[in-house]
Formats: sequence, C-alpha cells, structure tokens
Amino acid sequence: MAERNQAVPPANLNGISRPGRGGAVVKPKNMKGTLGRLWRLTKGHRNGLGWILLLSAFASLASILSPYVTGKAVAAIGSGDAVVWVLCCLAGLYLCDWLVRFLQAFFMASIGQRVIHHIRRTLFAHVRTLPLAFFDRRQHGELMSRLTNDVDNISTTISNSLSLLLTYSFTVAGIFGMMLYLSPFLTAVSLAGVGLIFLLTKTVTKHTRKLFAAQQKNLGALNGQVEESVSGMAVVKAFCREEEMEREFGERNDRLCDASIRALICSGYLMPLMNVINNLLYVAVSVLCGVLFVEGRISDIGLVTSFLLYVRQFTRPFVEIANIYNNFQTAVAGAERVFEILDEQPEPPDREGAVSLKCPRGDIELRHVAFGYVPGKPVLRDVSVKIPAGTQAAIVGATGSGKTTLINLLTRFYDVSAGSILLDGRDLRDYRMEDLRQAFGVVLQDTALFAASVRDNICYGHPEASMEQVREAAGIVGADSFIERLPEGYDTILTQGGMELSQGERQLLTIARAVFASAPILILDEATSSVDTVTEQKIRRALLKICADRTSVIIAHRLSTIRDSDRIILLDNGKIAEQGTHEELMALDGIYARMYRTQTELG
Amino acid sequence: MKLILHYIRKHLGIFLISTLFLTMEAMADLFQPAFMSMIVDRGIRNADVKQILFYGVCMLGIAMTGAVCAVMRNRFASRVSQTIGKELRRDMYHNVQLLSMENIDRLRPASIITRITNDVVQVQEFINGIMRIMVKAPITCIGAIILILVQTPRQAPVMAGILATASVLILGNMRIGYPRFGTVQKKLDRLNGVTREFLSSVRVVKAFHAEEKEGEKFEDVSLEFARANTAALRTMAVFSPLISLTVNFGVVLLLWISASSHGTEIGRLMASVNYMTQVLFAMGMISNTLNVAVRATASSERIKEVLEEKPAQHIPANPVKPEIRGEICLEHVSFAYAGSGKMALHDINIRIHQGETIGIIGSTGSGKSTLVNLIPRFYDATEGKVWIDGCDVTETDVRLLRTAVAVVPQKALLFSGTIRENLRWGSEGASDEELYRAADVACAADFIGQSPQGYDTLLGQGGVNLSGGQKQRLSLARALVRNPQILILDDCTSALDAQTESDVLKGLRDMAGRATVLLVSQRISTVMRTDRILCMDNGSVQGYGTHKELMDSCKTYQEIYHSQIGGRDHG
Repeated sequence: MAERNQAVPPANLNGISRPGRGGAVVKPKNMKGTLGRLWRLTKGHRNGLGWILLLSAFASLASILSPYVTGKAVAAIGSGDAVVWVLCCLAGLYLCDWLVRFLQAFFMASIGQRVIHHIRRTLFAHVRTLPLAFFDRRQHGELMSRLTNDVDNISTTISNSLSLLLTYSFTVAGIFGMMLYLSPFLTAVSLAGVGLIFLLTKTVTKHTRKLFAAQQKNLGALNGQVEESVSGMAVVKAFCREEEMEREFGERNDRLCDASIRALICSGYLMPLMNVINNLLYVAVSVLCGVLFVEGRISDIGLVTSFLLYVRQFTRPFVEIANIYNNFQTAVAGAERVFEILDEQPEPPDREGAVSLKCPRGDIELRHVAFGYVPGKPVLRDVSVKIPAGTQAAIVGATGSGKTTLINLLTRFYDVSAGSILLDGRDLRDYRMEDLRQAFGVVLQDTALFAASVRDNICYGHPEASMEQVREAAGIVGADSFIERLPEGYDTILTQGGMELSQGERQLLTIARAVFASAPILILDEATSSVDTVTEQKIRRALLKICADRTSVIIAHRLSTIRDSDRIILLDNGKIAEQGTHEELMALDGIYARMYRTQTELG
Repeated sequence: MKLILHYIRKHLGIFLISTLFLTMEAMADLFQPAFMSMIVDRGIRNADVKQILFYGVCMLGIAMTGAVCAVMRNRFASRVSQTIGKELRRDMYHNVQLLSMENIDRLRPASIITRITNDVVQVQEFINGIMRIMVKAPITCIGAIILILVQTPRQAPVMAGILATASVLILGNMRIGYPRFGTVQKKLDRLNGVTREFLSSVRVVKAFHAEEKEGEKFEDVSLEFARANTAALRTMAVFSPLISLTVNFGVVLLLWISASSHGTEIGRLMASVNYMTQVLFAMGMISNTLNVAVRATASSERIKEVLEEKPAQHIPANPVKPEIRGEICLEHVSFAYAGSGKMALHDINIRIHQGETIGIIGSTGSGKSTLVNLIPRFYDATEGKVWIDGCDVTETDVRLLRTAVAVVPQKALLFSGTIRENLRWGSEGASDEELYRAADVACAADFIGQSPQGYDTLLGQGGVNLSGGQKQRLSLARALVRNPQILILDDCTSALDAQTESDVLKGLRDMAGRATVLLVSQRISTVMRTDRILCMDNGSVQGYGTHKELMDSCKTYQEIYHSQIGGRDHG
C-alpha cells in the first residue's frame, strides 16, 4: 500500500529543466572528489543533514513492512481470525511513516536551503575577490548561469536526490530481504523481471540521450537567434530585415519543435513498456504461486498476498534509482563547474609586511613597465614615466595603443609583467590592496550604475554619508540640476544600470561618485567622451577645482580637453612616443601635433 | 491560463484524441487490480492454474492495451505541447517584429528575450503536465472510487470521508502554498538581478573597493530567497504526508470493515487496497503540481503581455509609395518619449534639400539622435509632421521609406554570420565589387584583408570579436552598400581616431553623391565642413545655417566652438 507513496520530488523551482527520463545527462569528471568537496561545504550543518539522512532510511520502513502486515491482515480476514492487533500494527506503521516523512520534509526545507545559501554565499564571497582578469576572460551569461543555475541544481537535485536515493536503496534492500524471507524461489523469478527492466531502460535511454542532446542544440540555436535579433531590433528595423529574421526564426523554431517531439516520443516508450514487464512479472509470479499452491508447497494465502504486493513495487525503485542517479550526475557536473570557480586564484593577497597607505602624496612613477594580457602579445613595453604629486597627466594615443591598460595597471586590476610602478616611492604591490584602491578615485569608460537610489549611487560604498555631502559632490560636477528634476530627486531609484537617464547624465553621476570618494588620486578614463563639450567644460572646471591639490591621470580622445595638462604622454603601439606639455609637443611637430591639427583644424 | 486554453483550443482535436487515449490508459490501469483479484480469488485460492493463466493473459492483454494507449497518448500530447510552444514563440516573435521601438524600449529587449525563450518552456512543460496529471488524476481517482464501491459496496461512507478529508487538505495546500511559491519566484528574480548587476559593474565595485558591501547585498538577497523557499517547502512538508496518512488510514479502515463482515473475498480486498494506492498517487500528483502551476501562470502572464502589446505606431492602410529623392521637412515637430513627461524635441521646423549634407551638433541630451530617429520612423512625432519628398512619413510605406534611408547607429551592431553576409544586409543583391567599394570607403577594407578568411570571416557567436572601431567601420560599410537616398550617421565615428575619421568622411562625400546626408556629431571639426549645420540645445533648434552664419549669429554654436577649438580663430 505504501506503493508509490513516496512523494514525487518537488519540481525544480528555478526554471532549469531537469533532465527527465533519459534526458541529456552530463557526466561529472571526478565524482568522488567533487562529492568530497561538497561534503566539506556542508560543515556546520552536518548534524541536521545526518538526521535527514537517518529519517530517509526510516522513510523506507513503511514500504518494506506494510505489504507483509497487510498480507497478514488479509490472511486473517480470509480465515476469519481476529485482525485487531494486525490492523493496529498497520495503523501504527502508517503513523510512523507519516511522522518520519513530515519531519524529513520539514527539516529538509530549512536545512537544505541553509546549506544552499551557505554554498551560494561561499561562492559569491570567492567570486568577489577574483581578479578582473577572470571577469574579462569570461562571458557574463556563462558566469551568471554558474552562480544561479548550477547552484540551484546542486540544491534541488543533490539534497533531494540524496535522500531519495537513500530511501529507495533501503526500500529495495528491505523488500528484497522480505521477499527472500517469504520465498527464495519466487524472488529469483522476480529478479529476472528486474533484469528485463534494466535491459529496456538501457536501450531506450541510449536513443533518448542522443535525441535530447539534439533538442538542446536546437534550443541553443533558437535562443541565440532571438537574443541577437531582439537586442539588435533597431538595426533590424533600419534595414527592413524583419521578414528575413522571422523566416530564420521560423526555420529554427520548426527544427526545435521536431527535435523535441522526437525526443519526447522516444522517451515516452519507457514507462508503458516497463508497466507491461511489471505486469508480466506479476502474472508469472501469480501462475507460479498457483502451481505451488496446487502442489501444496505453499499453504499460506497471506504469504501469497504479501509477495504479490512486494512484486508490484519491487521494480519501481530500480528505475527511480537509475533516474535519480542521472539527475545526480548532472548536478555533480554542475557542482564541478561551481568548484572550478572556487578554484580560481583570488587577487593575490597583500605581501607580507604590506604597509598601509593613509594619505598618499600622489607621486607616481612607472619604471620600465611591460605588460600583456596574453603571454607573447605585449600591450605595453618598457614604459617609464614620472607623474609628480599634484600634477595632471594626460594619456593620449590611438585606439589600442594601451591607454586603458595603463589605468588597469595603476589601479592594480592587473599586475605588471615586468618593471614596477611606484607610488610615493614604494612599489604598488607593497601597499595593502584596500588602501591602494581607496587612494584612487576612478571614473571609467562604462557608466555602471546600480539599481539603487541616486543618492546611494553617489555615495557608493559609504551608505552612512550625509545628504549634504552627497549634494555637494553632485553640485561640484553640475549634476544637481538634473537630479532635482527627477521625479523623486535624490531618492529616485535607478532601475538596471540607470537606463532611464541619458548617457551624459549617467556619466555625470559616475563622476559625482568619484568626487564623493574624494580620493587623493583621480583617474578619468575617457570619462567625458559621451558628455557634450560644453558640459565637459563645466565638469572640467569642477574637476580642476578638486584636482588642484591632487594627482590626476586623464585619458581623452578629444585633445582639446587635455591641452592644459602638466604633462601629455603619447602612447603609440605600447610605447611612449612623445611626452611633454602641449606647447612642447606642438613644437616637436610629431604625432601629437598631427593628431591635434586633424582634430581642430578646418579641412 | 486563458491564454493557454486559447492555444489548446486550436489543437482541440489532437488534444481530445490524446485525452481519449489517456482515459483508456487510466482505465487499463484501473482494471488491472480487478484481474489481479480474480487471479487470487478464482485461481490461487482454488489452486486452479488454468484460471490463473486465463486471467493472467487477460491482465497482460489489458496491460498491453494500456501501454499502447500510453504510447499514443504521449505521441499526441508531445505533439500538442510542442506545437503550442512553437506557436507561442512564433506569435510572440511575429508580434515583436511588428512593434515599434517605443514598445521595445518599454518591454526591454532582455525581458522580451527571456519571455520568448524561458517562459515558453515553462508553459510547455505545464501543458505536458496537465495532460498527464490534471486529466489522468481525476479519472483515476473517480474510477478507483467507483470500482472500490463496486467491489466492496459497504465502503461508501469510508470512501466519502477519505475523499472529503483529502480534498480539504489539497485545497489547503494550494491556498497556502500558491502565494508562497509566488514569493519564491519574486525573490529568485531579485537574486538574479543582483548577480547580474555585480557581474556587469565588477570594475566599478573593485575600483571603489566595495566588494564587501556587494557581498553583503548578495547575502541578504540569497538569505531572503532561502527563507522564501523554506516557507514554501514547509507547506508541502506539512500537507503531503498528511494526504498520504489520510489515504493509508483509509486502507486500514477498509480492512477493518471487511474483517467485521463475513464472506469478503481476499482478492477483492486486495484490489480495493490497490485502488486506494492509486487514489493516493493521483492526489499526491495533484498537490505536487503546485509550483509548476505557479510558474506557468507567471510565465503565461508575461507571454500575454508580449502578445497583447499593440504596436505604438499607426500603420497606414493604403500607404503612399512615393519615389524618395531625399528632401526632408520637419514641421512643428515635438516629441516626448513614452512615459517621460519631458519633451525631447520642441517645435522643430527645418527643411533639408535633396543632396545636402547637414551637420547636427548639440550637447548630450539635446535631441540630435531623437531627431534623426524620426526620419526612418523609428519613432513617430508626438506633434507636428515629418515630410519626405512631400509625403507624410506616417502615411508612407514603411518598407519603402526604410529602404531609402540608411542609418548608422551610435552603437555598431553586427550579426552572427560572415562579414560578407553582414554587409549584404544593406542590399541583398549587391555585387562583391559594391561590397568591396563600400568597405574601402568605410576604411574597413584593410583590416578585413588582414584577417585570414577575409570577407568570409565569421562574426559573433563562435566567431571573431572585433574592436569597437572595427565594428563601427563595418556598420558604416553596411549602410553604404545600401546606396541610400538618405544617409544618417548618428555619431557613428566616435571610436575612430581623428585621422581615420577624416579619411572616412572624405571618402563618404565622394561616394554618397546625390544622397542627403545627416551627420550627427559632438565634434565641431566633423560638422564644420558640411553644407549647413543644425545646432540644437535642450530639444530646440538654436541655429541652422552654414558654419559662418552660425559663428555670427548662434550663441550655443559659438560656445561649442570655443570649448573645442579654443579662442584662436581658425575660420
């Protein structure tokens, strides 16, 4: 009676389709090692998990014992004996079963989630310490799926599978034991049925696996097309490509539909065929029972009843176990991807004896700096330059000449391959990373804003700041006027990336953010490229004010904006080609002078 | 749900056939225990092997029939669910193609993409699920109960009691569980949002040394998600075992009642017990579909939003099909983006002659891009009219209009495929020579030539990644292939260095020939050489004339000039 009453595991909550019967299974590379690491991650929750696993074992009790007790009851009823005690036993068994299941599910709900929260937290805590190179190397979408999907897979599958696996294993073992106890001969016959089912499952999944893989491939192709065409809608419209896009989409859509139907139909053979085998087994056992009964080798009708009940549910757990094991494998493979991230080297720790950097003067010196993102492809070679404290240096050069790379090195997003960068006479790597980053106020090319209020975006990283300070920072860069025009002023919540603001307004906010941080050294990486020149002038005047006693490094396309810099450094192909003041460089009549003239002179 | 029903109705025939097979499958499942009971009562008890064989063969026959029905049901059900999924995707995609940019801005592209991809999968799974569960479970339930009553009629009160209790429990489970699973979904969205935000702004996070603060934010959201999950799963933890217990107690009662009366056949009793198990399984299935239903409802709502989005633009019934030569006229044009109270353009009146090159300059947010976007009808003017060669653009055939206008947007977007395929977007029938020439003018020929596959280099997914400047040049070449009557360059040379830019513009002037060119830029040196310059500020025209005229009369222009060129007089 407890047949099939193990609750179907709650479907995955997070929209990842669980590879179902014979679905695409990804095999883990190192099952044992990964499981060991997962186990280590459960530290602090092991007591709870232990209890759950113990309860899972007990959850099989009702499945194992109830057919036996039921058989006894049926036999007693048949022979007119007293059944009260047997029925009380059965009722007690069911009550136990209820309690075990309830406790198991209830604890699982909290402990399972806590473990997953812990894993997710550990993962994120690690991810945030990873160097920028890690993020530059990988696609956001892929990282996203590791942080969300893979972790959820671990959660739903491993926690559920593990307890189900345990329950079913105990069930199979228990039922097998009971059957052996009741009749070794009939048990042997039943095993033949199990063998048949194994054979069937193997044959069907061999086919379905291929079909599901094809489905997955078609789905990927369709999703890629949708992503590209919808995010590039303006271009599609501009070139009247709507019909072509629809045709292409339609073809991929048809292919996906066909592949899915084929996979589903094929996998749909498994359960009905299994049912037939199950029935075949039942009939075979019945016939044998009848023969044995006739020959008088069995006299107990209760035994027959019990055995037939056992046969009905003997085969099912095998299939379930095979299924769960597949899910389990996929989840472990997901866990491996998660561990791959955990194995990434974080930003190097501070050197031993790293000094703190409180109020740097701002003397920067690059000594024979060389760097390449990929070995063998140098981006900067032998760059040596001095930027004295309190002065403004501008870096100019064609696209790809290494300007942004220089900034990446200054802020230690990346470390130099050779040579060294000194701040106040000490190698950057001798300072504590935290202090170093706080010494730089950075405004970057991409205007990343956060889904928070305007105020919180300006005082990013310092939520305790007063409103006056925030206003002041906004005022300095001239962002106050547009902020006050926003519906809720400084409390306006910016949705994803501040898309409701214009590019220029977003840029102003990022500048205000850097101003607020009031770091001793300012770095502007083409910060004003998307602000119009008039506004840029305003910002520059403001920056001049705050730059007065600071070291600043500016990258700009528009040469007019950096003409007054104390020193202009012209990078060409990873090397310093020219440096000096605007006048000096103009007098030199080299690359800079030519660039300047093309930008400002009439054709 | 209405939406799902609507699509099911389209395939009602197959759906009904599949339901029919499902019913037969369920019946086959139900009759099996009846034969089992016969095997025991007539066969084993009487030690009659013949009877056992007879009923055994019957049972196998029914099992086979059931299996055939199940396979057929699966065939039809898969066809229905997958076809509905396909149609949902197709209809959504089709509608998205009809939408104007205003709609797309509002729905957000990223959101549209997830709706077409993920949400449809959710609905598909749900449809597949309802066939199996929502239809089969009630049939099994009702059938099993009827058979129990037939086999052992005195069980009626017990059955009624069990059924009532189980129904109350299932309803309770849904009432409490449904909103809780809804919360889980919301918290999950937030968790994903925070993760995505972190990944896309990791540089800033690091620069401001705010890793820890972001970590705390993530932890908070992750904890909330875990809590919501716990709350939802606990509902199931309470109700699921209770439902099992109810049915199991039904079994005990069934045995009890049979024991208190004489002459009950054991086989029948076994069959009844078996039916109870089937009832239990069916009920468990129903209560377990809860979160699938929550997800599918949420998904179908989101799908519906896309399907029901009406294009914001008016499509003329009898469009005018003029021969477009390139004369543009804006008459009292004002424009506000949907949902924003601020006017982005304010009472614009300008006339652009055929073949003229017009520079458009102005500060960020002054409305330059907005203005040019009105010409190929990416957006429609809120007030006033845009005329092209004397035809109101809103009455003109959109295809014709957009074929005559080529736009090079600020952000260069290329598509997966070869460089050649991308360039052919401009004109399907363009010859290779035309492609080479356009690439040459756009200063793209050099870097194309340097890559080993040349024009057959694959771009995009799995292909080569180009730099921003290279993309801009290809995007420009693509527009030039079109050989348009009106060419709009929307600040599309920003990633090029000054030398390349001036080369590109020089080549453009030779190639564009009689085309009208609108050149949007922030660099005064770029627009200075055009025929006339439109100087904008804050959504209005500040000046419209040659460089000389504007230097004399337009204050905004002078300001921009001095900020970029400086005080020295070049002109």
